[in-house]
Amino acid sequence: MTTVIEARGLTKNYGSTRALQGIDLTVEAGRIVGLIGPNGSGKTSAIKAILGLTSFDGELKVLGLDPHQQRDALMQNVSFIADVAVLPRWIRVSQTLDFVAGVHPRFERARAEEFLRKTDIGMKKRVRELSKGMVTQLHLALILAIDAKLLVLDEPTLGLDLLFRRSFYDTLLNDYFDKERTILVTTHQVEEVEHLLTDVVFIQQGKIKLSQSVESLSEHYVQLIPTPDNLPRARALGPFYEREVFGRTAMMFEGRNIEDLRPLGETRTPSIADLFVAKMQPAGAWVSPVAEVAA
Amino acid sequence: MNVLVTLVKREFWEHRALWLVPLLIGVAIVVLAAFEGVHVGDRVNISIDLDSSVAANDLEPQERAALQSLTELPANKKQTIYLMTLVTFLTVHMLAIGIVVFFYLLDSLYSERKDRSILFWKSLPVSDGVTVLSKGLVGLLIAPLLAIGMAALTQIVFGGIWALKFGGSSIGSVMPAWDTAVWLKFQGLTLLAFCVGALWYAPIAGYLLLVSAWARRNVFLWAVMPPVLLAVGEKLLMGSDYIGEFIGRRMLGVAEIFSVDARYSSADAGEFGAAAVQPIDRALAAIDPAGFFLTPDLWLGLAAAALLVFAAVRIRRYRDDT
Repeated sequence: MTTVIEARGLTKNYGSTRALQGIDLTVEAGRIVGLIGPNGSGKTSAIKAILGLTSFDGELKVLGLDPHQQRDALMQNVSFIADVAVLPRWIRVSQTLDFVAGVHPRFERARAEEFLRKTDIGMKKRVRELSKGMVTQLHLALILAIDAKLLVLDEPTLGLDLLFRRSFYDTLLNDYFDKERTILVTTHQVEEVEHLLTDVVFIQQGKIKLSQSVESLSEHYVQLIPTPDNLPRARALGPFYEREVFGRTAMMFEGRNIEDLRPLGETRTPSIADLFVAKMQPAGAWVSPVAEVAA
Repeated sequence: MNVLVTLVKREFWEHRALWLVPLLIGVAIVVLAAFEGVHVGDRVNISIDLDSSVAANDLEPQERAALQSLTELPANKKQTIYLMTLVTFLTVHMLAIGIVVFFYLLDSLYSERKDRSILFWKSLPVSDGVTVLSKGLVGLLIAPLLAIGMAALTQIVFGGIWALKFGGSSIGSVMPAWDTAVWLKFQGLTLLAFCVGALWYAPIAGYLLLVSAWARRNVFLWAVMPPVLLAVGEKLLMGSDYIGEFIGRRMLGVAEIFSVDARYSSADAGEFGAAAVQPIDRALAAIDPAGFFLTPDLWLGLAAAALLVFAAVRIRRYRDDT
């Protein structure tokens, strides 16, 4: 398996703000990695470093290249859609195709045209005349036609309605992704990408809180909703997070065998969204009113 | 190479003034020539009405005399008058494209940051060096060459209109509608002057690119204020004028070689009409941009331009403010 992204002690400071505090990250080919974190967590700084858009300290290799020094070479094999549509507003749809065809050796124009035919986007239209969803479709059409090894998506569906968001990810999975390709996607709408990720990376305050393949999540994390009489016993097993849902308490356990927890109540593998919420709490802050009363 | 061609095309897509302005000026001159009076230079002011038959009779006695003397000029002086129309059209085109290019260069590395499309351009395998180079190339070489081409075309079409409107009339006999030898020689001189001009103005282009890559807002003020403040400051503090003269010479110095009208018309401002016109050979000889290649300032400026463009490339590459 080839390594697509390899970061060791990746650090980025903006003045006194420490955007990235020594991140270690390995992304293998053929994975769909969700880089998930709240606003200001360092997601975008990490993405920018990976794309060669910013300087950084520490080690970082993307497809074996130093992104900041070799951005133009790297971009032969990396595609990128930024958080909001960044296609220039003055450009015509046909001109975007002409331009990418002119500068990108791995762009297959016919493919982009084929995709655009399925949309309502006219070739003569300028980007400023398109709706936000259409601009994203256009950008997606360009990206789908580039035979890249790594696709980076930074909040690609921000501000789009549900139909566009759904079809965006469906298209990505059906028409683009294959075993040789790698997708790195950042979002704070975890539910949206949950079903397509193979790996999750949680990032908070410039540090990685969790980095794991989705299939291994079930081995590490269990969510337990204990029956009321089992509550003290469950709590004694040391959940790292608990919250009240409809009068019942949901607890999150790390590194506990699911068989040990099953007698205490309902168990299941937590969703990525649940896990995200649980992991993103500042240490100790989870202590629930119930726990306080009990103490 | 394909990449560079695409990048250049891109500039003309975004900045349509680069080709629209020369086109519109060409059309405007032709339309004016076809339907209105024609003013050729300061000295020979020939106003011609729509109906050419009345033109000569409606003139003031002095003007009639001047026109009369012009119709009797020898052929080599009539060629000079023809040359003056060529110079005039070229000058109009070059002044216009100069203004267009000034604003184009200022905008070229700024607008992509303002609308954040730089994230799109940078997502493609194009280096910052080639990108900045393509913009400098468009501003300094391609857009002016296009304007020169439009000026040449304007001259040709104007010649056709002149022949159709005034062929056989006394006004038509003042100036030939077309002179292949003079036209070709002038185009050659224009291209030579263009080479000199491009080299001479390279540091200004580099400066504008640098400001465009650097300024966070108000590119125009950032471009104009520092030189003005330096010049004014020097004047106020030291009483001298070195900076102002230096900048002035860089802005207008190249005009020294193009200020041909003073040379092919006579030095005596009082003269009017035929005597003011020199034979074509002397007029052409007076335009000699080749000597400018020997100016050390030209080559020093070029070195400065290289540094300025290099700085602009570095800023585009390393700046992170999107």
